[in-house]
Amino acid sequence: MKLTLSLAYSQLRINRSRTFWTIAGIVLSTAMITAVSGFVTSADVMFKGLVGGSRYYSSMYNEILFGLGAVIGSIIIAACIIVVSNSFRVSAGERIRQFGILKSVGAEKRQIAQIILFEGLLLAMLAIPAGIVIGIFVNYVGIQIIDNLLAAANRRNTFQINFDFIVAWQAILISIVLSFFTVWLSAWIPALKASGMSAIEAIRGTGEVKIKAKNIRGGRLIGKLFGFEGTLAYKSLKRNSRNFRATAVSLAASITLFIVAGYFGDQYKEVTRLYYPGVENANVVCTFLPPDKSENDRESSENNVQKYSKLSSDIADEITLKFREYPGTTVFGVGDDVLKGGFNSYKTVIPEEVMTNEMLEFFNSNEYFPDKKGYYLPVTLLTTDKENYGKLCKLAGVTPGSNILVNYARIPGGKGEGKSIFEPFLAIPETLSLSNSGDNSIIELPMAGELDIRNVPNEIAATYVGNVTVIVPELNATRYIWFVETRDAEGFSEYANEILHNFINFEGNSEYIEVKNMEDIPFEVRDISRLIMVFIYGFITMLTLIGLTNVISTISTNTRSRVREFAVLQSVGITPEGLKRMLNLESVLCSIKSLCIGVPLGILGSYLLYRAFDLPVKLEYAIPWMPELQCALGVTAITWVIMRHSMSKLERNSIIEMIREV
Amino acid sequence: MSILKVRNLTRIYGKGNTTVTALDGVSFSVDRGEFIAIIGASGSGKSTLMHLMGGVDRPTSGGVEIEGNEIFKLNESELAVFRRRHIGIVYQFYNLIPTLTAEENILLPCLLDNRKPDIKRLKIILETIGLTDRANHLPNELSGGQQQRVALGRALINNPALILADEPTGNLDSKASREIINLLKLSNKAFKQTLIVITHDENIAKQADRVITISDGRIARDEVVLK
Repeated sequence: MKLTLSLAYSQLRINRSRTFWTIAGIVLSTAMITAVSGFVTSADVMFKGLVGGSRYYSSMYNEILFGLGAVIGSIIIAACIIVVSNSFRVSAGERIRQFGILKSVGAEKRQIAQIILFEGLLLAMLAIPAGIVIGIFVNYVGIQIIDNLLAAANRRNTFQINFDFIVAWQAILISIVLSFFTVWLSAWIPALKASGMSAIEAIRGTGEVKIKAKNIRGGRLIGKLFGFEGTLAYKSLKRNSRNFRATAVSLAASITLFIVAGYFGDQYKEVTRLYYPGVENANVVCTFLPPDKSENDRESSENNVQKYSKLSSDIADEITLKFREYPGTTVFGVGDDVLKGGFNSYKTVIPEEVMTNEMLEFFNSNEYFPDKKGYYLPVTLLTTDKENYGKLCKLAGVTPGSNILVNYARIPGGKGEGKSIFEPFLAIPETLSLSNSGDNSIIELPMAGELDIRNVPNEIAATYVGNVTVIVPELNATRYIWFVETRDAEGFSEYANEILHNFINFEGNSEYIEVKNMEDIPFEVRDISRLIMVFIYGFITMLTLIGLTNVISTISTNTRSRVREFAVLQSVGITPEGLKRMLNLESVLCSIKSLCIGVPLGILGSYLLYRAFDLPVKLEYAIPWMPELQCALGVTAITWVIMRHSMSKLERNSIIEMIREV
Repeated sequence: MSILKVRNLTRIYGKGNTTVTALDGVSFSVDRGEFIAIIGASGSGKSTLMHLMGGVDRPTSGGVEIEGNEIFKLNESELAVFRRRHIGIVYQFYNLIPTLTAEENILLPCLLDNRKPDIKRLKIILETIGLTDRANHLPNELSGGQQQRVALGRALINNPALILADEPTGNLDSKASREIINLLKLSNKAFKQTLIVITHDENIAKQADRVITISDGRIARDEVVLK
C-alpha cells in the first residue's frame, strides 16, 4: 500500500509538466462546476424572493434554471472528463515501460492500478480545493458584475433585482463529488488498460502505441507540396493516429462546443432583436407624441379633428438637420402613423395566396376567419429622415420616392396566449389598398420593393408595431422618434428641447415633446439581455480555457514522448529547419483533422439546438460561419504555437541528451 | 591518408563545482578503410567521443576533421546536412523511427537529402542485411537483431565516409551480435567503409585493425591488432 503510494507520488514529482496540466484541468473544471452551481443557488434565492410563493412562476423558473444548470453542468463534466482522462491516458502510455518493469519484478495488476489511482487521489486532493476556491472567487466576481449591471436598472425600477453572493455548502459538495468522480473515472480507464497488459508487451512498449503499417495514400502529393519532411509528418500522423487522437479529440470537442455556444449566442441576439428590438447606441431619445386627450375629447367634439396632431416629414427633417449640427452627434429619425393606444390608422386586406400555411393555420386556430378578399390586417406606415430613407431605398434596390414593404408580418395570437409568429409573406402584393377606419377613405399604395426585418436598422425595428409595415417617403406622423447618439448627452438634451420647442408648437402645448436621457428609461429587456450575454460569453470563455488546457497538455506530452524520435532524425541529418517544417505540418494536419470532426459536429449540434427550441419567431437555420471561421483560425494558431513552444524547450537540449533522456 | 582527425578534443559537462570532464584532450587520426575498436570502462568517455565524432554534440574545445572538413565550424543546418551525407551512426538501442517501415528507415538519410533513392543500392543493402522480405514491416514488427540490421542499413545507404557504431551489439543475443559484426566487417571490406566501433566485447575488439583504449577521458592505449 505504502509503496504504491510513494511510487505514485514520485511519478507526479518527476513529470512536473504533465502534473501541472492535469491539475490545471481539474482546477478549471472544479472551478466551473462550483461557479455554475453557485450562480444557480444565487439565482434560485433571487427568483424565490422575487416571485414569492407563486406556484406557477416557481415551477416555470425551476424548469428553466435547473434545466439550464443541468445542460451546462453536463457539458462541463464532459469537457472535464476529456481533459483529465486525456492527460492520464497519455501519461499511462508514456509509462508503459515502467509498468512492465514493475510487473517483471512482481507487481500485481492490482498494484499497478493502485499506483494510477493514487495519482488520481493525490491530484484530486491538490486540485479540487484550489478549484473550489477559484470557483467561489469567479462566482463572487460574477455576482459583483451582475449587480453592477443591475444597479442602473434598479435605480429606476419599482422592484429591485439583486443577486446575493451565497456560498452554499450543497454547491461545494456537488462540486467535490462531481470533480472527484471525474478524476476517478479518468484515472480508472487508463489504469485498467495498463494493468491488463502483459509485462513483456509493456517493456517492449508495443501495447499502448499501436502503429499500423497501413498503406497511405496521398503521401506523394504532400511530399511534392512540402518536401520529405511533409511526408514524414503525414506518415507519423497516419500511422500513429492513436497518439494524435487525444489531441484531435480534445480539439474537436472544443470546436464543437465553441460553435454550438456561438450559435446559441447569435440566435439569442437575433430573437431578442426581433422580439424586443432596442437601440443600444442611442443615449438620447427625443419623441414627438401627442398627449392623451381622451378627457378633453369628451368635453368638446370639435376637438376630435385635432385629436391627433401630426408632424409632417418636412418639419421632422428640418429638426433632424438641426440635431445633426450638434457636434459629435448621429441622428436617426423615425415616424409612424400609430395612434394612441397602439391603434393603427389603416387596415388592408392581404390575399390568402401570399400567406404561408403557418400563418393560415395560426389564423384558423385563433378563430380568425377571412372575408372574400382575404384577411384584414392593420398597417403601420413608417417614415425615416431623408438620409436614412435614401439608404433604405438603396438597400431595397428601389428608386427614392418608392414605398417599401417590410416583409415580415407579425401575426398576434388571440385568446391571451401571447404567442405570435413572425414570418415573411410568400410574395409581395403590387399595391396595398389601405382603408382608414376613421373616415372610411381608401388609399392605393403601390409597393416597389421589400426589406427583410433582419436587414432593417434597429431604429425601425424598435418602433415597429404593426402587423404589416410599409416604409413610405413622406408622412404626417402621429409619432416621431429621434434616436440620437451623442458624446454629450446632457448638453444635447437641452439643445434638443430648445429646438423642438421652436419647431413644434401645437396650440402652444409642449406636452407633445419629450427628451429622454436613456439612463432614465426604466428597467428593460435589454438589461436582462445583457446579463444573459454575459453568462453565455462567460461560459464560452471558460470552455475555451478548459479546451486550451487540454490541448496544451496533450500536445506537449505528445512532443515530449517523441523526444527520441526527433533526436534520431537530427542525428541522421534532418536540419533544424526541416524538423520545424515537419512539426508545423503536423500541427496543421492535426488541426485540419480536428476541424473535419469538430465543424460538422458543431453544425449538427447547432442544427439540433435550432430544432429543439420551438421559437415563435420563424428564423431560417443558418450555418454559424463566424464561429467556424474563428475556430479554424484559433485552432491552427493554438496548435502551432503550442507545438513550437514545446519544441523550443527541446531545442535547448543537445541531440545526445535527448537520446539519453528516454 | 587520414579520413578523420581528432585534435585535442575536450568535453566538459555541467557548470561551476559540478563539472565533469568526460573527455580530456584526446587526439588521434584514422585512415580510410580502417576498422577501429574503442574500448574502455563505463563512464570512461567512449560515448562522448563517439557523439563528438558523429557531430551530434559539440566539444568544449578541440576539433574534428572529417574528409578535410572541420565539422564544428559548420552551423546546425550545415552540420545536419554533413551528417546525413558523410556519417552513418548505429546506436545500441537501434533508434528507428517507429512510424516508418524498414525500407523507409533505411532510405531516411537519402530522402532527407531530397535525393532520388538509389533503388539498386537499397536492394543490395536489403540483401546484405537479409531483410528483403521484411522491407515493408514497421520497427515494432521486427526482432531486436532485425531492427539493428535496419539501423545498419540506414548508416550505409549514403555510402558515408565514416560509420560510427555505439555498442551495436550491446542489446543483442550472441547470434544476432555475430551477424551484426559480420555485417559491419563486410561493409568495411566490400564498401571500403571506415568503421569505428565502441564496444565492451573483447571478441569484437580482437577483430578490429586497431584498438584504442579510453580511460578517464584520455587515450590510455592505441595499439594495432596483430593477426
